Amino acid sequence: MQDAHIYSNQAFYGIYKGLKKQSFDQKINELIRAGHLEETVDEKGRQAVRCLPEGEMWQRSHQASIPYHYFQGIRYYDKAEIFYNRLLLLVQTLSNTKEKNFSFIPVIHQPETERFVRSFFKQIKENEKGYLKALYLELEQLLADFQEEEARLFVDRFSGYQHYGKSLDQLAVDYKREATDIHLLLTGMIHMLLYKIETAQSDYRALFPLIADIGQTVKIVGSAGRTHDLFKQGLTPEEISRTRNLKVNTIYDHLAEIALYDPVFPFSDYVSENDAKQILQVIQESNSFKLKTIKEKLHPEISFFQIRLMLVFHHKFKEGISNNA
Amino acid sequence: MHETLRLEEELKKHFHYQTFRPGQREIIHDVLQGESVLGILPTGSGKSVCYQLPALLLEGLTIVISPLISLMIDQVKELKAKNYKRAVALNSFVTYAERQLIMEQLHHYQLLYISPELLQQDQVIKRLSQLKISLFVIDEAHCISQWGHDFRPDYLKLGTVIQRLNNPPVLALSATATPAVQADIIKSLNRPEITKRIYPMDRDNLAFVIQDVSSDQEKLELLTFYLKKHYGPALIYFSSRIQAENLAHILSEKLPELNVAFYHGGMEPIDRIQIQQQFMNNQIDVICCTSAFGMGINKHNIRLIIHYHLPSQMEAYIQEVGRAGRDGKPSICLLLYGRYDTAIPKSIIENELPESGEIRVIMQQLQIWGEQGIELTKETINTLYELFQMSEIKWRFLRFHFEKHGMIRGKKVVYQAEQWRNIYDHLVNWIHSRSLYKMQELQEMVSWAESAGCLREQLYKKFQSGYDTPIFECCSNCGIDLEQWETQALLPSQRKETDWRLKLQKLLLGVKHEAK
Repeated sequence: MQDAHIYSNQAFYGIYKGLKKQSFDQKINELIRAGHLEETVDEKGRQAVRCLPEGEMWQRSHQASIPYHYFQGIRYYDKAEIFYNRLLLLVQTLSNTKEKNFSFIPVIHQPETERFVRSFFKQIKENEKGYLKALYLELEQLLADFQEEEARLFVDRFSGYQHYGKSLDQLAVDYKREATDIHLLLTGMIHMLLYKIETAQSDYRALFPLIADIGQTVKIVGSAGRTHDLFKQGLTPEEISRTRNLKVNTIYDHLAEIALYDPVFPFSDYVSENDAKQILQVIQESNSFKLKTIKEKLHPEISFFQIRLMLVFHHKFKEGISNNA
Repeated sequence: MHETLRLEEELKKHFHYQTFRPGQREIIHDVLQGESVLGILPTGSGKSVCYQLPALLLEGLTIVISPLISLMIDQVKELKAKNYKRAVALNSFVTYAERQLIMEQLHHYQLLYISPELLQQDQVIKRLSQLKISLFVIDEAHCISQWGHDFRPDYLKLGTVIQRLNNPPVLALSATATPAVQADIIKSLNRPEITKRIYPMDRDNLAFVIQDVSSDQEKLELLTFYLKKHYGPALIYFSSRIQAENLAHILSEKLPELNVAFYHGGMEPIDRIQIQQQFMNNQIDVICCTSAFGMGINKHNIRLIIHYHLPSQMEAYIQEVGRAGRDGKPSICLLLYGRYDTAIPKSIIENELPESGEIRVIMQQLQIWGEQGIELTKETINTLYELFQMSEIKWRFLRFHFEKHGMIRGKKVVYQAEQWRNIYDHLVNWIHSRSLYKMQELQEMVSWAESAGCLREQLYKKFQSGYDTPIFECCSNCGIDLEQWETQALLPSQRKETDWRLKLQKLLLGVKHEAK
């Protein structure tokens, strides 16, 4: 699993933290019994399962209930929960305060979340109406990009003035799905929201402040910082090199640094999945971080820049990848 | 007279109640005089006001020991919602950093809820002993007797803690304590001179109905019959989480006009709050739940409480049915009794305490560690759980007794062959007698369910002599006419909004925007 799907597996990292091993095993056994999976051993002799053609068909037919492409686990496994809790509590709070109701039972009882929402509320209190309107428009626009039923389900979970939202199990009944699928769908939707908010921060003036302080990255300063600004505007390394009148190799240096600190760095834009797999394998096997040693063992078309990116990738995510295996 | 008026003023000001309920004023008066009080008040009579009001009026900090974390959290939330800001809860859910912060700020608070486990920590006691403790409250004080013996050994140590806090006045509160349990509480607290304020616990608006059944199918039929016929907010208690879930699904299908949900301790915190508050907010009509639901729930118009399984003791039953009809209106307590049901509580009783074999292997392991000088750390204790498939509850129980007898001192195991043999025998005997005692309690419940006499009289006879004349019907053995039971009309169900945009608008922009 680990070597075959470097990028896709990352997507599912940490998306169901509360999942009990027992339930997981039970589900796997069900799938084996149904003829979708088959027990086998991997090359290291560890217990594993293989997906059978029937399983792939089954998966395709269930794709609609959990859209896999929403997930970006490795980026958001921490952020998603913090953001969602803040959003739920903020919506409930503002929905009540706009009706001048200041006594309600908060649905999230974590001191950190409560403290965040309290101080955030103080900041926007002056312009509560304007903020609410902006929040509505941003959520409306973001949710409109999802399936109609997904948007409905997402809104059903919110609590507000004289109204308490649905539990996972209630949503499961209402939408005729399994409670675990509801959990996964909501997580996937949150990842999607986070991705959109982060990549177009200035378009989400109401929502971005909810995540601005989470996992704050080291501010990239100086020349690399200016490269980062251009990079965020979507310029390629070559274009940045021309614009800034610097050597491309210098820009590559900057990008390797940016890759280390930018939580949403798009590695796959620069290294194909197949190349990434090979590079990471060599990094692991040679147990070396010397660019030259690694390069000698790889296809000559793989560049130093790509190897550097994968070294950064290895450094950032090795924990995530090995946990995922 | 003057003081009475002043107390009523304060009650109005802080809690928006017009008058005291029976017992509240007397207990508050005693407490304000600096007396220690044992207060036995029926469920739903506002026990918490008995310390929440004094906490505001007394100088210093009022400490409340509460058995359930969820109960503490609910109470603090409710207080904050009422603008009672200087209250805080400390328990194992609060992160270490948060705890430090609260501890530092403790002198700003008037009311502190804390779990008995946390109150054992040296650091906590030291900090508390620096402050003036105006009142030391033990809520659900029957836990000292009922649970303290087995699962919450820290409850038994409260007497020592009170001493270390310079002996503040004590208020022990409970809704269900037989004279034997009352004596137990007083002894554990070492307060023989305590003022007793004991009020009858019978509730004249509750009618008791027992239906004999011989299968789960029959139970289901009765459930649908009652829920269809008698609308009103209802609770159905189960001994098993899975059955609570299953029945909630089945009932939702059978009775689409009702909103049925389930609630148990295995759910995510946010779901627990949302379900609980939907019920308070009349979004849900029926909750299938385990005993985890209800403590601290203050819904006044619950009309029907059904027990799908037989509870294991009268006290638990009285607590649970006590949640019905807090508004004083007629309400029904229905027990679906199948003789085959007693197997579940029996096996719970048999399995909750360690068996002699388990004790022996654990002691052997400890002996080895003692001889090798291996200390008890998180890791070594984890190996105990894994090696012997032991639950944390059982280990906590054993550890308490091992410590009590000097077999464990801090992290060290102290091995002495003869002494250990004696302790082993003593423990096995003791567990045996506890199980026996619980089986007796279960037997009482069974006798009640099978009795032909007045159910009301027999339910309360262990606690008090006599009872008030019921305002509605008495019980199924005295003869009951449910046709007379005034049921509420179904609330107009909230219009179901299927357009998510409209729903989001309503949430964030208010109703007036809806028309646009």
